[in-house]
Amino acid sequence: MGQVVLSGVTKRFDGLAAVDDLTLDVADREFLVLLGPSGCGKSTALRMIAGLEEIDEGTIWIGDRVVNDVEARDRDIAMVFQTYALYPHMTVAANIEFPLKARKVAPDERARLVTEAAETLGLSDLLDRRPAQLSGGQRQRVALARAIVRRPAVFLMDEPLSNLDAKLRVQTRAELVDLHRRLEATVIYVTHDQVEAMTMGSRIAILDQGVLQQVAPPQEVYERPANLFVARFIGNPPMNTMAGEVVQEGADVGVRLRGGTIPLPSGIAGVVRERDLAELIVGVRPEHVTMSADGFIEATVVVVESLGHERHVICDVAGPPFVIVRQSIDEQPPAEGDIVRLSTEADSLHVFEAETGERVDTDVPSGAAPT
Amino acid sequence: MILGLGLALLAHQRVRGIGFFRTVFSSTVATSVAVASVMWITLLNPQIGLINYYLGTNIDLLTDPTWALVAVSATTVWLSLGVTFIVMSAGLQGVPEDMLEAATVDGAGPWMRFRKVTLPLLSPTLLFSLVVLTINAFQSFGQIDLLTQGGPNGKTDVIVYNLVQTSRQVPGRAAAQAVVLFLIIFTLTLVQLRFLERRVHYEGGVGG
Repeated sequence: MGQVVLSGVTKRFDGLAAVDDLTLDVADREFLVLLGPSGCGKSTALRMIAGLEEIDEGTIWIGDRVVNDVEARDRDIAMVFQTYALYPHMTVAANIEFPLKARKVAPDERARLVTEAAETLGLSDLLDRRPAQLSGGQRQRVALARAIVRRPAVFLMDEPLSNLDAKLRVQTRAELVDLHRRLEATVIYVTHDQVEAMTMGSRIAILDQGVLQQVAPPQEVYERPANLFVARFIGNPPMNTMAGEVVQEGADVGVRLRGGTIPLPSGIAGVVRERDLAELIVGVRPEHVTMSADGFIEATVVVVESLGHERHVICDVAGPPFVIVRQSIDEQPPAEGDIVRLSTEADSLHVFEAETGERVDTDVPSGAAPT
Repeated sequence: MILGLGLALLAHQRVRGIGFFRTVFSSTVATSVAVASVMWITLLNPQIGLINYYLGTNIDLLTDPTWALVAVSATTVWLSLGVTFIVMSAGLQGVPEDMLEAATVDGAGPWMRFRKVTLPLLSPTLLFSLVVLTINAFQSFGQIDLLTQGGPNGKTDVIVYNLVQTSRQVPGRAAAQAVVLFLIIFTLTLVQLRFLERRVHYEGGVGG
Protein backbone atom coordinates (compact mmCIF):
# COMPACT_ATOMS: atom_id res chain seq x y z
CA MET A 1 0.00 0.00 0.00
CA GLY A 2 1.10 3.51 -0.65
CA GLN A 3 0.83 5.38 2.60
CA VAL A 4 3.84 7.39 3.63
CA VAL A 5 4.50 8.40 7.21
CA LEU A 6 7.21 10.73 8.40
CA SER A 7 7.86 10.90 12.10
CA GLY A 8 10.17 13.49 13.61
CA VAL A 9 12.27 13.57 10.45
CA THR A 10 15.21 15.93 10.61
CA LYS A 11 17.93 16.71 8.11
CA ARG A 12 20.84 18.99 8.83
CA PHE A 13 23.31 20.52 6.43
CA ASP A 14 26.41 21.85 8.19
CA GLY A 15 24.54 21.86 11.48
CA LEU A 16 21.60 23.84 10.08
CA ALA A 17 18.28 22.05 9.99
CA ALA A 18 16.93 21.99 6.46
CA VAL A 19 14.01 19.88 7.62
CA ASP A 20 13.23 20.15 11.31
CA ASP A 21 11.25 17.49 13.16
CA LEU A 22 8.81 16.90 10.32
CA THR A 23 5.86 14.68 11.14
CA LEU A 24 3.49 14.00 8.31
CA ASP A 25 0.96 11.34 7.50
CA VAL A 26 0.20 10.78 3.82
CA ALA A 27 -2.71 8.46 3.21
CA ASP A 28 -2.75 5.82 0.50
CA ARG A 29 -3.83 7.32 -2.85
CA GLU A 30 -3.70 10.81 -1.50
CA PHE A 31 -2.40 13.77 -3.52
CA LEU A 32 -0.36 15.65 -0.95
CA VAL A 33 1.33 18.90 -1.92
CA LEU A 34 4.42 20.10 -0.08
CA LEU A 35 4.30 23.86 -0.45
CA GLY A 36 6.70 26.55 0.63
CA PRO A 37 9.07 29.26 -0.55
CA SER A 38 12.38 28.22 -2.04
CA GLY A 39 14.77 26.91 0.56
CA CYS A 40 12.01 25.87 2.96
CA GLY A 41 13.13 22.24 2.94
CA LYS A 42 10.31 20.79 0.85
CA SER A 43 12.65 19.32 -1.76
CA THR A 44 14.93 17.95 0.93
CA ALA A 45 11.93 16.27 2.55
CA LEU A 46 10.99 14.73 -0.78
CA ARG A 47 14.54 13.57 -1.41
CA MET A 48 14.61 11.86 1.97
CA ILE A 49 11.44 9.99 1.07
CA ALA A 50 13.05 9.07 -2.24
CA GLY A 51 16.17 7.81 -0.54
CA LEU A 52 18.47 10.33 -2.22
CA GLU A 53 19.22 12.03 1.06
CA GLU A 54 20.17 10.44 4.35
CA ILE A 55 17.86 10.98 7.31
CA ASP A 56 19.61 12.46 10.35
CA GLU A 57 16.79 11.85 12.81
CA GLY A 58 13.33 10.36 12.75
CA THR A 59 11.67 7.60 10.82
CA ILE A 60 10.07 7.27 7.39
CA TRP A 61 7.58 4.54 6.61
CA ILE A 62 6.48 3.67 3.09
CA GLY A 63 3.65 1.17 3.15
CA ASP A 64 4.18 -0.70 6.39
CA ARG A 65 7.93 -0.72 6.32
CA VAL A 66 10.54 1.55 7.77
CA VAL A 67 12.67 2.69 4.84
CA ASN A 68 15.40 4.66 6.61
CA ASP A 69 17.99 2.12 5.54
CA VAL A 70 16.30 0.90 2.38
CA GLU A 71 17.99 1.83 -0.91
CA ALA A 72 16.12 4.20 -3.22
CA ARG A 73 15.64 1.43 -5.78
CA ASP A 74 13.88 -0.81 -3.26
CA ARG A 75 11.43 1.75 -1.91
CA ASP A 76 8.69 1.18 -4.50
CA ILE A 77 8.70 4.84 -5.50
CA ALA A 78 9.20 6.78 -8.71
CA MET A 79 10.32 10.34 -8.97
CA VAL A 80 9.75 13.07 -11.53
CA PHE A 81 12.42 15.74 -11.49
CA GLN A 82 12.08 19.43 -12.16
CA THR A 83 14.53 19.17 -15.05
CA TYR A 84 12.90 15.85 -16.07
CA ALA A 85 16.41 14.32 -16.03
CA LEU A 86 15.75 12.37 -19.21
CA TYR A 87 18.71 10.43 -20.55
CA PRO A 88 19.68 12.50 -23.60
CA HIS A 89 21.49 9.68 -25.39
CA MET A 90 18.48 7.37 -25.31
CA THR A 91 15.29 7.39 -27.33
CA VAL A 92 11.95 8.04 -25.67
CA ALA A 93 11.28 4.30 -25.67
CA ALA A 94 14.65 3.55 -24.06
CA ASN A 95 14.08 6.24 -21.46
CA ILE A 96 10.74 4.74 -20.46
CA GLU A 97 12.22 1.26 -20.53
CA PHE A 98 15.20 2.12 -18.35
CA PRO A 99 13.61 1.47 -14.94
CA LEU A 100 12.34 -1.89 -16.18
CA LYS A 101 15.76 -2.82 -17.52
CA ALA A 102 17.33 -1.81 -14.24
CA ARG A 103 14.94 -4.20 -12.52
CA LYS A 104 15.64 -6.97 -15.00
CA VAL A 105 12.08 -7.28 -16.29
CA ALA A 106 11.81 -9.76 -19.17
CA PRO A 107 12.10 -8.15 -22.67
CA ASP A 108 8.59 -8.91 -23.97
CA GLU A 109 7.07 -7.75 -20.69
CA ARG A 110 9.17 -4.59 -20.98
CA ALA A 111 7.91 -3.90 -24.49
CA ARG A 112 4.32 -4.34 -23.37
CA LEU A 113 4.68 -2.00 -20.38
CA VAL A 114 6.47 0.65 -22.42
CA THR A 115 3.73 0.62 -25.04
CA GLU A 116 1.12 0.88 -22.32
CA ALA A 117 2.81 3.78 -20.52
CA ALA A 118 3.39 5.59 -23.82
CA GLU A 119 -0.28 5.20 -24.70
CA THR A 120 -1.39 6.51 -21.32
CA LEU A 121 0.57 9.69 -21.90
CA GLY A 122 0.02 10.03 -25.65
CA LEU A 123 3.63 9.38 -26.59
CA SER A 124 3.11 6.47 -28.96
CA ASP A 125 4.23 8.42 -32.04
CA LEU A 126 7.35 9.77 -30.37
CA LEU A 127 8.99 6.57 -29.16
CA ASP A 128 11.93 6.77 -31.57
CA ARG A 129 12.72 10.40 -30.89
CA ARG A 130 15.41 11.65 -28.58
CA PRO A 131 14.70 14.10 -25.75
CA ALA A 132 16.43 16.92 -27.65
CA GLN A 133 13.85 16.60 -30.42
CA LEU A 134 10.88 17.02 -28.09
CA SER A 135 9.06 20.09 -26.80
CA GLY A 136 9.03 20.90 -23.09
CA GLY A 137 5.57 19.45 -22.62
CA GLN A 138 6.50 16.24 -24.41
CA ARG A 139 9.65 15.83 -22.33
CA GLN A 140 7.59 16.28 -19.22
CA ARG A 141 5.27 13.51 -20.37
CA VAL A 142 8.23 11.23 -21.07
CA ALA A 143 9.42 11.84 -17.52
CA LEU A 144 5.95 10.90 -16.27
CA ALA A 145 5.85 7.82 -18.47
CA ARG A 146 9.19 6.72 -17.08
CA ALA A 147 7.74 7.10 -13.60
CA ILE A 148 4.46 5.26 -14.18
CA VAL A 149 5.90 2.41 -16.25
CA ARG A 150 6.70 0.22 -13.29
CA ARG A 151 3.59 1.07 -11.30
CA PRO A 152 5.10 2.19 -8.03
CA ALA A 153 2.97 2.71 -4.95
CA VAL A 154 4.20 6.27 -4.45
CA PHE A 155 5.03 9.01 -6.93
CA LEU A 156 7.32 11.80 -5.86
CA MET A 157 7.24 14.93 -7.98
CA ASP A 158 9.66 17.78 -7.56
CA GLU A 159 8.22 20.89 -9.21
CA PRO A 160 7.45 19.00 -12.41
CA LEU A 161 5.61 21.90 -14.02
CA SER A 162 7.96 24.76 -13.31
CA ASN A 163 9.83 24.41 -16.61
CA LEU A 164 6.67 24.66 -18.69
CA ASP A 165 5.21 27.87 -20.04
CA ALA A 166 2.16 29.27 -18.28
CA LYS A 167 -0.42 28.04 -20.76
CA LEU A 168 0.91 24.50 -20.86
CA ARG A 169 1.13 24.46 -17.08
CA VAL A 170 -2.62 24.98 -16.67
CA GLN A 171 -3.33 22.11 -19.04
CA THR A 172 -0.75 19.78 -17.55
CA ARG A 173 -2.07 20.48 -14.08
CA ALA A 174 -5.43 19.04 -15.04
CA GLU A 175 -3.75 16.11 -16.81
CA LEU A 176 -1.75 15.28 -13.70
CA VAL A 177 -4.85 15.30 -11.53
CA ASP A 178 -6.55 13.04 -14.03
CA LEU A 179 -3.51 10.75 -14.16
CA HIS A 180 -3.47 10.53 -10.38
CA ARG A 181 -7.10 9.42 -10.42
CA ARG A 182 -6.43 6.76 -13.05
CA LEU A 183 -3.29 5.39 -11.43
CA GLU A 184 -4.81 5.15 -7.96
CA ALA A 185 -1.41 5.83 -6.44
CA THR A 186 -0.10 8.12 -3.76
CA VAL A 187 1.43 11.36 -5.02
CA ILE A 188 3.68 13.63 -3.03
CA TYR A 189 4.12 16.79 -5.00
CA VAL A 190 6.58 19.58 -4.22
CA THR A 191 5.93 23.08 -5.45
CA HIS A 192 6.39 26.72 -4.56
CA ASP A 193 3.36 27.65 -6.65
CA GLN A 194 0.29 28.11 -4.48
CA VAL A 195 -2.04 27.85 -7.47
CA GLU A 196 -0.71 24.36 -8.19
CA ALA A 197 -1.08 23.48 -4.54
CA MET A 198 -4.63 24.81 -4.28
CA THR A 199 -5.85 23.20 -7.49
CA MET A 200 -4.17 19.81 -7.29
CA GLY A 201 -3.72 18.81 -3.69
CA SER A 202 -6.20 16.87 -1.63
CA ARG A 203 -4.20 18.31 1.25
CA ILE A 204 -1.45 20.89 1.42
CA ALA A 205 1.49 20.75 3.80
CA ILE A 206 3.12 24.14 4.15
CA LEU A 207 6.74 24.37 5.20
CA ASP A 208 8.82 27.33 6.18
CA GLN A 209 12.49 27.11 7.13
CA GLY A 210 12.22 23.38 7.52
CA VAL A 211 9.29 23.56 9.92
CA LEU A 212 5.82 22.32 9.10
CA GLN A 213 3.32 25.16 9.43
CA GLN A 214 0.00 23.57 8.60
CA VAL A 215 -1.44 20.47 6.93
CA ALA A 216 -4.99 20.81 5.72
CA PRO A 217 -7.20 20.66 2.65
CA PRO A 218 -6.70 23.67 0.34
CA GLN A 219 -9.91 25.42 1.30
CA GLU A 220 -9.16 25.18 4.99
CA VAL A 221 -5.64 26.48 4.49
CA TYR A 222 -7.15 29.46 2.73
CA GLU A 223 -9.98 30.08 5.15
CA ARG A 224 -8.25 29.27 8.42
CA PRO A 225 -4.51 29.75 8.07
CA ALA A 226 -2.85 28.36 11.19
CA ASN A 227 -0.42 31.22 11.50
CA LEU A 228 0.75 34.45 9.99
CA PHE A 229 3.19 32.75 7.62
CA VAL A 230 0.50 30.61 6.02
CA ALA A 231 -1.88 33.59 5.93
CA ARG A 232 0.61 35.70 4.03
CA PHE A 233 1.89 32.89 1.82
CA ILE A 234 -1.45 31.64 0.53
CA GLY A 235 -3.59 33.94 -1.54
CA ASN A 236 -2.93 36.28 -4.41
CA PRO A 237 -3.00 39.20 -3.91
CA PRO A 238 -1.79 38.36 -0.42
CA MET A 239 -3.79 38.87 2.75
CA ASN A 240 -3.66 42.37 4.22
CA THR A 241 -2.13 42.26 7.67
CA MET A 242 -1.63 44.99 10.19
CA ALA A 243 -0.35 45.05 13.76
CA GLY A 244 -2.19 46.82 16.54
CA GLU A 245 -2.88 47.07 20.25
CA VAL A 246 -5.83 45.50 21.97
CA VAL A 247 -8.23 48.10 23.34
CA GLN A 248 -11.15 47.33 25.64
CA GLU A 249 -14.24 49.44 26.05
CA GLY A 250 -16.55 47.76 28.47
CA ALA A 251 -17.49 44.41 26.96
CA ASP A 252 -16.16 45.31 23.53
CA VAL A 253 -12.68 44.36 22.49
CA GLY A 254 -11.06 45.97 19.48
CA VAL A 255 -7.67 46.37 17.88
CA ARG A 256 -6.31 49.87 17.37
CA LEU A 257 -4.63 50.01 13.99
CA ARG A 258 -3.16 52.87 12.08
CA GLY A 259 -6.10 54.77 10.69
CA GLY A 260 -8.75 53.47 13.09
CA THR A 261 -9.95 50.80 15.49
CA ILE A 262 -11.49 47.54 14.35
CA PRO A 263 -13.82 45.60 16.66
CA LEU A 264 -13.21 41.88 17.22
CA PRO A 265 -16.02 39.34 16.96
CA SER A 266 -17.20 38.26 20.39
CA GLY A 267 -15.80 34.71 20.27
CA ILE A 268 -12.27 35.86 19.52
CA ALA A 269 -12.66 38.79 21.90
CA GLY A 270 -13.34 36.26 24.66
CA VAL A 271 -10.18 34.33 23.87
CA VAL A 272 -8.14 37.53 23.72
CA ARG A 273 -9.46 38.61 27.10
CA GLU A 274 -8.98 35.21 28.63
CA ARG A 275 -5.38 34.95 27.46
CA ASP A 276 -4.73 38.60 28.21
CA LEU A 277 -3.21 39.32 24.81
CA ALA A 278 -2.02 42.88 24.29
CA GLU A 279 -0.59 42.91 20.76
CA LEU A 280 -2.36 41.34 17.82
CA ILE A 281 -1.99 41.18 14.07
CA VAL A 282 -5.22 41.26 12.15
CA GLY A 283 -5.53 40.04 8.59
CA VAL A 284 -8.22 40.44 5.99
CA ARG A 285 -8.18 38.96 2.50
CA PRO A 286 -8.41 41.60 -0.25
CA GLU A 287 -11.79 40.30 -1.40
CA HIS A 288 -13.20 40.81 2.08
CA VAL A 289 -12.27 44.46 2.39
CA THR A 290 -15.05 46.81 1.37
CA MET A 291 -15.13 50.54 0.93
CA SER A 292 -18.03 52.10 2.77
CA ALA A 293 -18.86 55.40 4.42
CA ASP A 294 -19.03 53.82 7.89
CA GLY A 295 -15.73 51.92 7.58
CA PHE A 296 -13.38 51.55 10.54
CA ILE A 297 -10.21 52.72 8.89
CA GLU A 298 -9.39 55.78 6.87
CA ALA A 299 -7.16 55.30 3.84
CA THR A 300 -5.96 57.11 0.73
CA VAL A 301 -6.27 55.44 -2.66
CA VAL A 302 -2.82 55.16 -4.23
CA VAL A 303 -3.34 53.13 -7.39
CA VAL A 304 -6.29 51.44 -9.05
CA GLU A 305 -5.24 48.37 -11.05
CA SER A 306 -7.68 46.81 -13.45
CA LEU A 307 -7.11 43.16 -14.35
CA GLY A 308 -10.05 42.88 -16.71
CA HIS A 309 -12.16 40.57 -14.56
CA GLU A 310 -11.49 42.37 -11.28
CA ARG A 311 -9.93 45.47 -9.87
CA HIS A 312 -7.29 45.97 -7.16
CA VAL A 313 -7.51 49.20 -5.24
CA ILE A 314 -4.27 49.83 -3.41
CA CYS A 315 -4.68 52.06 -0.39
CA ASP A 316 -2.25 53.81 1.91
CA VAL A 317 -3.15 53.55 5.58
CA ALA A 318 -0.72 56.06 7.05
CA GLY A 319 2.38 54.10 6.12
CA PRO A 320 3.42 50.72 4.72
CA PRO A 321 2.31 48.12 3.94
CA PHE A 322 -0.43 49.14 1.58
CA VAL A 323 -3.86 47.60 1.96
CA ILE A 324 -5.21 45.92 -1.15
CA VAL A 325 -8.93 45.91 -1.82
CA ARG A 326 -10.25 43.51 -4.39
CA GLN A 327 -13.21 44.98 -6.15
CA SER A 328 -15.62 43.56 -8.68
CA ILE A 329 -15.43 45.18 -12.08
CA ASP A 330 -19.09 46.23 -11.81
CA GLU A 331 -18.44 48.43 -8.80
CA GLN A 332 -17.70 52.11 -9.14
CA PRO A 333 -13.91 52.54 -8.86
CA PRO A 334 -12.56 55.29 -6.60
CA ALA A 335 -10.24 57.89 -8.08
CA GLU A 336 -6.58 57.86 -7.19
CA GLY A 337 -6.02 60.24 -4.26
CA ASP A 338 -9.53 59.74 -2.85
CA ILE A 339 -9.94 59.37 0.89
CA VAL A 340 -11.97 56.20 1.57
CA ARG A 341 -13.09 54.29 4.66
CA LEU A 342 -12.39 50.56 4.75
CA SER A 343 -14.58 47.98 6.39
CA THR A 344 -14.94 44.22 6.67
CA GLU A 345 -17.30 41.60 8.03
CA ALA A 346 -16.38 40.40 11.50
CA ASP A 347 -16.13 36.75 10.42
CA SER A 348 -13.69 37.62 7.61
CA LEU A 349 -11.19 38.74 10.17
CA HIS A 350 -8.10 36.60 10.82
CA VAL A 351 -6.47 37.32 14.14
CA PHE A 352 -2.92 36.29 15.08
CA GLU A 353 -0.81 36.72 18.17
CA ALA A 354 1.80 39.37 17.46
CA GLU A 355 4.46 37.53 19.43
CA THR A 356 4.16 34.02 17.99
CA GLY A 357 2.21 34.60 14.80
CA GLU A 358 -0.18 31.82 15.82
CA ARG A 359 -3.83 32.08 14.92
CA VAL A 360 -6.17 33.17 17.69
CA ASP A 361 -9.28 31.12 17.24
CA THR A 362 -12.27 29.96 19.19
CA ASP A 363 -12.08 26.34 18.09
CA VAL A 364 -9.36 24.35 16.40
CA PRO A 365 -10.57 22.41 13.35
CA SER A 366 -9.85 18.71 13.43
CA GLY A 367 -7.54 18.47 10.44
CA ALA A 368 -5.22 21.23 11.54
CA ALA A 369 -3.90 20.25 14.92
CA PRO A 370 -1.21 22.82 15.66
CA THR A 371 2.14 21.48 16.78
CA MET B 1 43.17 7.31 -20.19
CA ILE B 2 41.41 4.69 -18.13
CA LEU B 3 43.60 5.57 -15.16
CA GLY B 4 42.78 9.24 -15.62
CA LEU B 5 39.06 8.47 -15.67
CA GLY B 6 39.40 6.23 -12.64
CA LEU B 7 41.14 8.91 -10.66
CA ALA B 8 38.64 11.51 -11.81
CA LEU B 9 35.80 9.28 -10.65
CA LEU B 10 37.54 8.86 -7.31
CA ALA B 11 38.09 12.56 -6.97
CA HIS B 12 34.50 13.32 -7.94
CA GLN B 13 33.26 12.12 -4.57
CA ARG B 14 32.33 14.57 -1.89
CA VAL B 15 34.79 13.57 0.79
CA ARG B 16 36.61 15.65 3.35
CA GLY B 17 40.02 16.70 2.09
CA ILE B 18 39.19 15.92 -1.52
CA GLY B 19 40.92 19.13 -2.60
CA PHE B 20 44.24 17.66 -1.50
CA PHE B 21 43.81 14.54 -3.63
CA ARG B 22 42.64 16.57 -6.60
CA THR B 23 45.83 18.58 -6.35
CA VAL B 24 47.95 15.45 -6.10
CA PHE B 25 46.24 13.77 -9.02
CA SER B 26 46.63 16.72 -11.30
CA SER B 27 50.14 17.59 -10.16
CA THR B 28 51.86 15.76 -13.01
CA VAL B 29 50.66 18.57 -15.27
CA ALA B 30 53.07 20.84 -13.53
CA THR B 31 55.97 18.43 -13.78
CA SER B 32 58.42 18.89 -16.64
CA VAL B 33 59.51 15.91 -18.73
CA ALA B 34 63.02 16.22 -17.38
CA VAL B 35 61.98 16.18 -13.74
CA ALA B 36 59.64 13.27 -14.31
CA SER B 37 62.30 11.31 -16.15
CA VAL B 38 64.89 11.76 -13.43
CA MET B 39 62.26 10.71 -10.90
CA TRP B 40 61.42 7.59 -12.85
CA ILE B 41 65.11 6.73 -13.38
CA THR B 42 65.35 6.62 -9.60
CA LEU B 43 62.12 4.66 -9.19
CA LEU B 44 63.16 2.15 -11.82
CA ASN B 45 66.70 1.75 -10.54
CA PRO B 46 67.49 -1.93 -9.79
CA GLN B 47 69.32 -1.22 -6.53
CA ILE B 48 67.54 1.74 -4.91
CA GLY B 49 64.33 1.94 -6.96
CA LEU B 50 61.02 1.48 -5.18
CA ILE B 51 59.51 -0.45 -8.07
CA ASN B 52 62.01 -3.26 -7.89
CA TYR B 53 61.74 -3.13 -4.13
CA TYR B 54 58.00 -3.71 -4.19
CA LEU B 55 58.16 -6.28 -6.97
CA GLY B 56 60.89 -8.06 -5.07
CA THR B 57 62.97 -8.18 -8.22
CA ASN B 58 66.34 -6.87 -9.25
CA ILE B 59 65.92 -6.03 -12.91
CA ASP B 60 67.29 -2.93 -14.55
CA LEU B 61 64.02 -2.13 -16.20
CA LEU B 62 65.51 0.52 -18.46
CA THR B 63 68.16 -1.67 -20.05
CA ASP B 64 66.28 -4.94 -20.08
CA PRO B 65 65.10 -5.52 -23.66
CA THR B 66 61.71 -6.87 -22.55
CA TRP B 67 60.93 -4.18 -20.01
CA ALA B 68 62.49 -1.01 -21.38
CA LEU B 69 59.55 -0.09 -23.61
CA VAL B 70 57.08 -0.88 -20.81
CA ALA B 71 59.05 1.27 -18.40
CA VAL B 72 59.15 4.15 -20.84
CA SER B 73 55.43 3.77 -21.51
CA ALA B 74 54.69 3.83 -17.80
CA THR B 75 56.57 7.10 -17.51
CA THR B 76 54.63 8.51 -20.46
CA VAL B 77 51.32 7.40 -18.95
CA TRP B 78 52.28 8.99 -15.67
CA LEU B 79 53.18 12.21 -17.46
CA SER B 80 49.84 12.48 -19.23
CA LEU B 81 47.86 11.40 -16.20
CA GLY B 82 47.48 14.92 -14.85
CA VAL B 83 46.02 16.37 -18.01
CA THR B 84 43.78 13.35 -18.51
CA PHE B 85 42.61 13.65 -14.93
CA ILE B 86 41.72 17.29 -15.35
CA VAL B 87 39.93 16.72 -18.65
CA MET B 88 37.97 13.77 -17.21
CA SER B 89 37.07 15.72 -14.09
CA ALA B 90 35.75 18.53 -16.26
CA GLY B 91 33.77 15.96 -18.23
CA LEU B 92 32.28 14.50 -15.07
CA GLN B 93 31.18 17.94 -13.92
CA GLY B 94 29.12 18.03 -17.08
CA VAL B 95 27.09 14.95 -16.12
CA PRO B 96 23.99 16.36 -14.43
CA GLU B 97 23.53 15.22 -10.85
CA ASP B 98 19.78 14.75 -11.20
CA MET B 99 20.24 12.43 -14.15
CA LEU B 100 22.27 10.11 -11.94
CA GLU B 101 19.71 10.49 -9.18
CA ALA B 102 16.93 9.68 -11.62
CA ALA B 103 18.82 6.53 -12.54
CA THR B 104 19.22 5.68 -8.85
CA VAL B 105 15.49 5.98 -8.21
CA ASP B 106 14.83 4.09 -11.44
CA GLY B 107 16.68 1.21 -9.84
CA ALA B 108 20.10 1.33 -11.48
CA GLY B 109 23.04 0.26 -9.35
CA PRO B 110 26.40 2.08 -9.44
CA TRP B 111 27.77 0.03 -12.34
CA MET B 112 24.66 0.46 -14.48
CA ARG B 113 24.60 4.18 -13.70
CA PHE B 114 28.21 4.46 -14.82
CA ARG B 115 27.79 2.40 -17.96
CA LYS B 116 24.40 3.69 -19.09
CA VAL B 117 24.48 7.30 -17.98
CA THR B 118 27.94 8.59 -17.07
CA LEU B 119 29.89 6.91 -19.85
CA PRO B 120 27.62 7.96 -22.74
CA LEU B 121 27.51 11.53 -21.47
CA LEU B 122 31.27 11.48 -21.10
CA SER B 123 31.87 10.12 -24.58
CA PRO B 124 32.83 13.45 -26.21
CA THR B 125 35.45 13.91 -23.50
CA LEU B 126 36.69 10.36 -23.97
CA LEU B 127 37.07 10.82 -27.72
CA PHE B 128 38.91 14.07 -27.21
CA SER B 129 41.43 12.60 -24.81
CA LEU B 130 41.91 9.49 -26.91
CA VAL B 131 42.87 11.59 -29.92
CA VAL B 132 45.10 13.96 -27.97
CA LEU B 133 46.81 11.19 -26.02
CA THR B 134 47.48 9.17 -29.15
CA ILE B 135 49.10 12.14 -30.81
CA ASN B 136 51.14 12.81 -27.68
CA ALA B 137 52.30 9.20 -27.49
CA PHE B 138 53.56 9.37 -31.07
CA GLN B 139 55.45 12.51 -30.32
CA SER B 140 57.15 11.44 -27.10
CA PHE B 141 60.78 12.33 -27.11
CA GLY B 142 62.03 13.85 -23.87
CA GLN B 143 61.47 10.85 -21.66
CA ILE B 144 63.12 8.49 -24.22
CA ASP B 145 66.13 10.72 -24.54
CA LEU B 146 66.58 10.92 -20.80
CA LEU B 147 65.67 7.38 -19.80
CA THR B 148 67.05 5.05 -22.48
CA GLN B 149 68.43 6.95 -25.47
CA GLY B 150 66.53 4.54 -27.64
CA GLY B 151 68.22 1.50 -26.16
CA PRO B 152 68.58 -1.33 -25.40
CA ASN B 153 69.17 -2.50 -28.98
CA GLY B 154 66.80 0.11 -30.32
CA LYS B 155 63.90 -1.33 -28.36
CA THR B 156 62.73 2.12 -27.36
CA ASP B 157 63.89 3.86 -30.51
CA VAL B 158 60.45 5.37 -31.16
CA ILE B 159 59.76 7.45 -34.21
CA VAL B 160 60.42 10.97 -32.96
CA TYR B 161 63.55 9.92 -31.11
CA ASN B 162 64.80 8.13 -34.21
CA LEU B 163 63.92 11.17 -36.27
CA VAL B 164 66.00 13.48 -34.12
CA GLN B 165 68.96 11.11 -34.21
CA THR B 166 68.71 10.77 -37.99
CA SER B 167 68.46 14.52 -38.47
CA ARG B 168 71.96 14.89 -37.06
CA GLN B 169 73.40 12.63 -39.78
CA VAL B 170 70.97 12.59 -42.70
CA PRO B 171 68.71 15.66 -42.47
CA GLY B 172 66.86 14.82 -45.67
CA ARG B 173 65.83 11.43 -44.39
CA ALA B 174 64.67 12.96 -41.12
CA ALA B 175 62.53 15.40 -43.04
CA ALA B 176 60.96 12.50 -44.90
CA GLN B 177 60.37 10.74 -41.56
CA ALA B 178 58.66 13.84 -40.24
CA VAL B 179 56.29 13.88 -43.20
CA VAL B 180 55.57 10.19 -42.73
CA LEU B 181 54.94 10.76 -39.00
CA PHE B 182 52.57 13.57 -39.83
CA LEU B 183 50.71 11.31 -42.26
CA ILE B 184 50.51 8.48 -39.75
CA ILE B 185 49.11 10.71 -37.01
CA PHE B 186 46.79 12.43 -39.46
CA THR B 187 45.42 9.13 -40.77
CA LEU B 188 45.09 7.61 -37.33
CA THR B 189 43.25 10.64 -36.01
CA LEU B 190 40.94 10.58 -39.00
CA VAL B 191 40.23 6.90 -38.45
CA GLN B 192 39.54 7.48 -34.77
CA LEU B 193 37.19 10.34 -35.47
CA ARG B 194 35.46 8.52 -38.30
CA PHE B 195 34.83 5.32 -36.38
CA LEU B 196 34.28 6.62 -32.91
CA GLU B 197 32.39 9.83 -33.50
CA ARG B 198 29.32 7.86 -34.44
CA ARG B 199 29.30 6.33 -31.00
CA VAL B 200 29.72 9.64 -29.26
CA HIS B 201 26.75 11.47 -27.89
CA TYR B 202 26.89 15.25 -28.12
CA GLU B 203 24.42 17.10 -25.91
CA GLY B 204 21.36 18.12 -27.87
CA GLY B 205 22.69 16.43 -31.00
CA VAL B 206 20.60 14.29 -33.30
CA GLY B 207 23.25 11.65 -33.88
CA GLY B 208 24.79 9.36 -31.32
